[in-house]
Amino acid sequence: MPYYEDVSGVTLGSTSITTVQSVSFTESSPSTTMGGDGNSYPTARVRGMRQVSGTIALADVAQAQALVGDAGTLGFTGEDSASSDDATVSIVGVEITDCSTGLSHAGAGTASLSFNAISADGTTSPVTIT
Amino acid sequence: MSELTVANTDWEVVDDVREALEKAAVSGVAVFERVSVTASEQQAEEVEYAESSIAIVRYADTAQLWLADGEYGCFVSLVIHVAAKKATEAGRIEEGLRLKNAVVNAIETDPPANASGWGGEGQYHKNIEWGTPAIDAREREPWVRVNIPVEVGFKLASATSH
Repeated sequence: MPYYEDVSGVTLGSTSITTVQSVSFTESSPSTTMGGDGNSYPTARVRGMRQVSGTIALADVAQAQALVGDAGTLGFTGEDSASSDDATVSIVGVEITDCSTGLSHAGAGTASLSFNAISADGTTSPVTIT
Repeated sequence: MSELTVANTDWEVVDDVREALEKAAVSGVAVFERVSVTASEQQAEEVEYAESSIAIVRYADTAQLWLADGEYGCFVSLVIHVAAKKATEAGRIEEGLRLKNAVVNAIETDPPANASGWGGEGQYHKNIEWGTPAIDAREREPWVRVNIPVEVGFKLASATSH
């Protein structure tokens, strides 16, 4: 079972992102269900576009603020204690859309970058995990 | 054989604390006649008492936590023992507190060169964190003794930067 000790080597395009505490992302396949008159349960489903979005949490608020609007491939490695179990993640077509920052007494800076991702060809997931 | 570089930062912190106490002066007069370093609690307790005030920097331990980007947040735990001679108990308490406050001012004025605050999610260690001092003005009359715990934080760039 892999245990991820660290998130390292975080890059967006050619830009390194440091002080990263965590990266999380979601690939969703939204759908809406419906039924006809007299049905108590849905009998049909309409799928929407699959969506990839996520957040990057980091401590350097100035660095985070400067990344809003930047785009490129997001890459990072979840380091396992056994390097053979490292998870290398690549998400193409990423754009940083929001930055939420916080500074507090006796605490590390906290910044949360939100991003979404688009597919290169409309059919391939932007996310690759190896 | 692996060729290593040893920064020995925790010792640098201890030595800088000792130096700050040695340099401490009020109105041009040194606060402490002697300042020494030990790692032994027993030695700190059996210190040779003198006519003038003394200080002993006792090293306790070094702790570390892993931070982002492979950095380490560390802190050296010290107890600074000070002792002075006064005839009356009230005088001993006053002098003990004066010396305790002199220790704090001396180290805050001239902090160790490597002292640094650090933190991660949900935690923060200040560059210098003072514990609760303990004063004893009766056991070794006519001396007063004050034990002042302090933690000095510092950062290491990587696992091989110790």
